[in-house]
Parts: sequence; C-alpha cells; structure tokens
Amino acid sequence: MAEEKVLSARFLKKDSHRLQGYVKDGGYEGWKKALSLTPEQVIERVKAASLRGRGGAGFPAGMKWSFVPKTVNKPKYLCVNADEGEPGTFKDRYIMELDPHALIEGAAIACFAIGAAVAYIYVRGEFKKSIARLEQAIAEAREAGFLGMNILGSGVSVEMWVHPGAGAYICGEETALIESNEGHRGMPRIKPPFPAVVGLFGGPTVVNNVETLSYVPHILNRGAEWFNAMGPEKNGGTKLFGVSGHVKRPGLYELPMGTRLSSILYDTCGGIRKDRKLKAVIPGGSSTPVLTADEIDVAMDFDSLAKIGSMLGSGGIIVLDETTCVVRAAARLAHFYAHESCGQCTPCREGVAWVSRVLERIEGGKGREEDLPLLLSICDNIQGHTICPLGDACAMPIRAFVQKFRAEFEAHVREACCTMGPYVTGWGR
Amino acid sequence: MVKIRIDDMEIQAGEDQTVLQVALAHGIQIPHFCFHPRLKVAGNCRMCLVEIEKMPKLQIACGTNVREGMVVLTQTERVKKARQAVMEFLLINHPLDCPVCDQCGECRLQDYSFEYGKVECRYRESRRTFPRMDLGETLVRDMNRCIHCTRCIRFLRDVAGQEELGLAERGGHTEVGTYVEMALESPFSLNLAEVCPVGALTSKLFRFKARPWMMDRTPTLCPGCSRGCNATAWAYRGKLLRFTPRENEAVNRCWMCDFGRRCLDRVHADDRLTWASVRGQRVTRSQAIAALSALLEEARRAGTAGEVWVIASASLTNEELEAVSRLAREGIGTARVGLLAGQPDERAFGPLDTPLSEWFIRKDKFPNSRGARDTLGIEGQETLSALLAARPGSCAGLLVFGEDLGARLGDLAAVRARIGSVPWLVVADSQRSPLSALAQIELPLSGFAEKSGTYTNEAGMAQKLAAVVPAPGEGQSVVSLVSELTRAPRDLEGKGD
Repeated sequence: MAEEKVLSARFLKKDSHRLQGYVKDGGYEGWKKALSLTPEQVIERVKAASLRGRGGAGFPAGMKWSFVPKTVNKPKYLCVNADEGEPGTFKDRYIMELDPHALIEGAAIACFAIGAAVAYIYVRGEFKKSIARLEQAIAEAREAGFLGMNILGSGVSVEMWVHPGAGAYICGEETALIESNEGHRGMPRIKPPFPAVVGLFGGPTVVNNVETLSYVPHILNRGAEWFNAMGPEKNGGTKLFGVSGHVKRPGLYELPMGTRLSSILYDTCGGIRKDRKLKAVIPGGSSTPVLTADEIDVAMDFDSLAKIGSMLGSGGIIVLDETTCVVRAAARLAHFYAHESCGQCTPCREGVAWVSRVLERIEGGKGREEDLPLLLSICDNIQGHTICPLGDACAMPIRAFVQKFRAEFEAHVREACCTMGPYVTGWGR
Repeated sequence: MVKIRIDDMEIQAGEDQTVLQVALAHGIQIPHFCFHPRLKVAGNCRMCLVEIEKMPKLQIACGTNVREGMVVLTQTERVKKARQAVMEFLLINHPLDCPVCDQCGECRLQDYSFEYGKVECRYRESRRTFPRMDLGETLVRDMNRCIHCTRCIRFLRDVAGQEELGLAERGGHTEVGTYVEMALESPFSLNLAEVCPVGALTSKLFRFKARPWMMDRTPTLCPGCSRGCNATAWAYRGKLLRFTPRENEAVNRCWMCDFGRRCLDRVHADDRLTWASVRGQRVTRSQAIAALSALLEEARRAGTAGEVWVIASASLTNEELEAVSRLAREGIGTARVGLLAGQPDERAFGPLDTPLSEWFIRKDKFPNSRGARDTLGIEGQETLSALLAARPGSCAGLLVFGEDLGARLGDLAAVRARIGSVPWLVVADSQRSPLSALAQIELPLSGFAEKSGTYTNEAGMAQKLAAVVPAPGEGQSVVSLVSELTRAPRDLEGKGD
C-alpha cells in the first residue's frame, strides 16, 4: 500500500493557507461537485466511505449527518469542533494553520448535506494563529463566492463564523461546545435529546471534528473506494498521528489507518529516545487506556484498539520510556481531569478530584495498601454514571494504569516514596 | 398512553412523562436531589440512576422519557451500588455538622444517607472548604454543604425570571453564588431555603430558632396580599416562627414571596395591642367593652346612633366582617359603615411565563378585600384619611375595627384633623398605632395568626385561615368582641366586672 498523504499533502507548500494555492491544487472542486448533487447523494457518498469521526469516538460521519431530521421548521447548524484540548493531540491546529481551506470546504459540503445555512467553527481560545488564519481564509472564500449567498449560482447559501472558546477541555464535548457557542457556561447537556435533534439554539445540529471534515472534499473528488482502500475494513482513510514523548522524532505524521503502533514508534519516529526501553504508550490522547510495551504490536485503527481494551481516540500518541514514573504520570493525568471537570454532575466533580488526591498522596510517599483497591473502586463508581464522557475519560486510563502497572504502584506504597527517585521537573530526567 | 413496567408494577403512563414522574405518581421511591417537580430537569445529581432493559448504561429516571414496553428496574444490585456511590461522592466533602445545621430534620442528604448510604467512610483526604457568603437580608450560603444540584439557580432563572445566582469556578471548586458577593434582590429569595435540599441556603429569618420536628404545623393562609397564598405556619411553644408555602396549583403553586413570609414579624412585634384601655388608663377588657357599650347607649338616648360611624378593615375575616355589619345595623342602628380596603386589581391571574412577581404579588395588601366588599356590600377606599375625607357630614362617634391599621392610615395629619371634630373614637386593633393613641377606648384584637375564619381572595376563592398561636394578653377576635358587646347588660354601666 502506497503511503499517500491526503490532509498533510499541502502542509509544507509556501502560503499553503491562501486561497490561490488551494484552488491551484484542485481546491473547492469537491464543493462544486457537491453542489451538482443532491444532499442525499452527498450523504450516501460519505456513508459509502467509512469515514469515522476523528475527534475520538469514531462515529461514522455520514451516519451522523443522516440523523438530522429532513423536515423541521427550525434552522439547522453545523458546529466544527476545533477545540483541540485532549492532551497529546496536535493535529487539528496544523490543518487550521496550514490548510484552512480544506476545513472550510469540508464544512461547506457538510452544511449542504444536512441543510444548514450556518456553520460555526468553535476554536480553542489559545489557538490565536488558527483563529487568524481561519478568519482570513473564510474572508477569501467569501470573496471568491465559495461561501455566502447563492454560492456559484446554485441557490445554496452557507455562512461560516469562527467562534473562539475560552480554553476549557470540556468544551470539546459536543453538547458543552454547543452551550459555550450559545454564550453559556460550557457544561454538557443531558442526552437525549441528541444534538442532531435539539442542538445549537434549539435547532438540529451536527458537530464534527476538524480532521473529519477535512477528508470530505477528498472523498467527493476521489470516491469512497479510494478512501476505503487506505485502511482496514470500516476504518477508511489515513489518520494524523501526533507523536509526543520519549521518541527520537516526535511530530505529526499522516499514516494509513491500521498502521502498526510498533512501526510508528520504531520506523516513523526512529525509536525510543536515547535507545532506552519502552515502558508504556498512551495510544490516542490522554483519555485512552495506556498500553504496555508488550501491547504495541497493534494496528492503529478504531476496532483493533477497542479489541485490546483501549481506543484510537484522537490519535495523540504519548510515549513513556523506562525512566518515567507511571504513578506520577497517572497523578498528572488525574490532576488534569480534576481541573477540567465542569463540576456539574456528582461522580465526576467529586470522584475525579478524589482520584487525583489519592494518586498525589501515593506519589508523595503517603500511600496506603487499601488505596489501590480504592482507586479501582472509585473508577468503577465514576464510569458510566456521568452526564458526559469526561468522567470515563479519567476513570478508564487511571484504571488501566493501576491494573497494568500494579507492581509499581505497590512499590510506591511499600517504599513510601517514588521508586523512580525524587521529582525533578517535567516529564523526563 | 404507553404501557411500561417499573419493577413488578405494570403502569399506564402519559407519553410525555419521565420515568421518575411516573414512579413518584405510583408510590415507587426513586431517590433524587436535583429533580424538582416544578423546575426544569438538570440531571446532575445522578442519584436517580435506574436500570432500563435494553440500555447498556444506567439511566437517570428524571431525564428519561417513558416509551411503550419500557421495563425499568429500580432495585437491582447495580442500581443500589450506583446510589451508594453517589451518596459516598456527595458526602466526602460534606461537613458532618448536622447537629449545628439548620436543615437538620428536613435534609434530603441526611434522609438518604440513612437509607442509601454506607456506614464507613473511605475518604482520607482533607475536605474542601469555602468561605461563607452573605446573600443579603434573607439568606446565608454555606457552600461547604452544597451538593451542586443547581435547584436554586434554576428556580431564580426559570421560575422567578431573575438571573441573580450562578455557578462560578469549575470542578470541585464550583461555587453557587452572586459572583461579586452581591445581595439577592429577588422578592422570592426565601423560596431558595426550601428549594435547597440541604443546608447550603438557610433563611436568616428562621435560622437557629427551632428544630422542625419540635414544631407544630398548621395549614393556613398568608395575610400579605389579596392573592391568598396557601401556607403552613410553623410554631414552637406558642411562637410563630416561619411560613412555608403549601401547594395549591390554583393560587400559589408551591411558592410564596418574601413579603408574605415576613408578615409573621407583626405577630410577636413589640407594638402589639395586648390590653384594653379607657382614656389611656389600662383596664380589663370587660371594663372597656362596658365603657364602649355606655358610649353607644348614650348615642342611642341622644338620638344620634344613626350618626355613629363604623369602619372595618379588609384584614378581618368574613366572619368578623359579618359580625361588624350586624353590630352596626342591628346593635347600633347606623348605616354609616365604611370599609378600609385596597382597590381591585385587574391582573387577577396573569400568564405563567411572565416574571413571577408580575403574576404573583398583588398591590392590594389586604387579604380579604373581595370578601369584605361582598360581606359589607360596599366598595373600599385606599386609606383611612381618604375614607374620612370622602364622607363629610356630622359624626357622633367613630368605631374602627382593624388589624394592623397603623400601616394603612395614609395622611396622618388629615386623620387627626378629622378626628378632632368627632366626639369619641374607639379603636379595636391588633397593633398600637397613631390612630389608637388618639382613641378614648382601645380594644385588643387577635392578629391573623390567632384567629380562625375565612378570607376570600381576589379570585373569589374563600379559603380557611387557622388559629396557630394564642393571642397575647386579652386579644380576641372581632366575632367574640361583638358578641360580648351585644351581651353587655346596659344597667351595669360603669360597674365593669
């Protein structure tokens, strides 16, 4: 299988973010094609390509679009989830900075498919450059007639706005994103009703990730078969993997779905830093259960990782070598989730903070023997009981850490200190 | 209608109902904190998690609509474990200060921890704490006790239409408050003390006065305005300590305004008229009644009985007004009967989606204006001065019955000027007032909390007022006063008891 670049193909070109270059490289052809089809045909083509949501859940995008009711007397909306907040993930910002028109084209096609006249791109507030480039690109596209009223004489109108967030992890959850986009405190809504029925301003709404939408023009241009051929069954296309941590060449790599994790670490990224031993890999952003060094011979696609009890998530691969203290890593993660919990529902607000406190105590040398079963029990009590997946996003990786590295946790408790030596600063030493 | 099953019970339920609504309507207990029948669903406490067949995760009963053939299980091990988990989470940061907490005895967290909680505590960390926040004249916020159910915020936003409370901070640091420590200005703020299922918001008017389980509860009415809100009066050892709303869909749903709740202040106020007096000298009630009887007899002999004016206030019950009416017409023989009442208010029942106060609080602050007009067959004026000014002509004597007249005198100078030309003034009232200070004879009346009878509210509903506490001193109702007066033998004049 030839390793083809789809999303990142234009990243290194000069002025890749400008309209001129984008059109020269065949940009907005997918949009023109979509306008020559019916919305149903567009949805069918995206459905035929097994494009699964790249935000983390892996839900088929075409399917999501088809849930939007056809006849409803309320305006429909598209929200682009560009609130890239998952620790270890840095893919969407490159698309927005280096090829924003790909996202705009994909979002316009999605609007057409679901019958939305307005799309909001909800961008993480810290991404100043992304925001500026998107706004410039939207202005260019509007001027060129690719956005606005009566686009290219088709009678279709699509408006697009950039909505900067204020830097909250929870606003990456689709209903919290909608709340925040409406101007409220970013807190997830209870489901049902799902956004496809009652979403932004009460209208049917589709929320798609940046990376997901950016594939859509390519699918329309080159067909579902081409897309599906790049990955294993039901996991079509390529995937942007952001590799960080203890590898020789960390960075953003576009690889076909189903590439072996071991191959990403040792071939693409040149192996572990200083040729040390690998200890653990978080395969898809901080909320995905950690894998041990023995588990890395796995295909990086949604189904294969689910089979071994982890997730592809957002594709943010975090590599931990043998010098890393997993208790400290787990404590740091739990601290993040306790800090980012919106505080709305009981199990997440109280449970995640509790997990964080217990882990900090163990790492600080004040652990008790009963703390490890306690941690697992708190995780059980959080998981599946919360309004949104943030509770699960903490419970699942922490449980995996405790179960897979139990000996190291026990050693912390037994020795009453960190077995990796005193805490210096940062992750490595 | 759809058919569902909850545990072993087959139930016909309405299609738009939630599992929790159906369960509660059929006596099936599903514990819940954030759900309130009159507030929008928030689904945040996670206490009402139940198992629903064919759904992999536990679902919140408050936010799940019933569907045909749904099978709900509320007593499985999974459900019990989830409830126990939620209780544990809620309690890890909750102070164990029940003995000094004002909510004790009517606290949902307390009740549920007996029923669904665990005995042992697995929490070894320090509890998070917040500074106490003063929310103004009516409420104190103790955030340490808060369970973040947001009922208070939802009440103010969705029912009262005022966005005065909100959430600040995030996660475990989430705080309910007025952001920059502003006072709550809602005229419905005291409802928050009841809406709050725990002791996070407590009433400054009631705190630390008595324990709810020691108190006597009597269903009665709020005397605050012509709306006629149904209330429960809570008394401890003969003292009325608080009003809470009593549910009545047609009148007040389950809310009450702060003004109404504060009416109880006047029950035990220092200005209560507790003893009778004649020309400033304290006498027994019987002596004062005899003195009044003598004045009336004198008027009768002089042939000026028809010139005696009788004025009643619309704070009296229908029964009292009836007695006043009979006393005037049959006992004294005068047709000069005046009524002290508010003007009719056209906004009797407004739409429910306007801000609550528009719909709820009446400008007419007399509880029985409509009943008084019906009983006496006359329209009332705003104030006593207006009443006196509107009825020129000779006056042989003035007999005033009222409750808390002091607040309703109007232009006091005008009243004084008019009274100056009247041979005698007799005032029967529950409170001392500038008017009673001018009277030859003062007679103590029982207040609204000390008499039973009926008030007819603005919508024409006659509702029952109950005696909650005994009247102080020699206070009595107008009914009993009139019956004593008409019984008082005329030949005993001056002798008293």
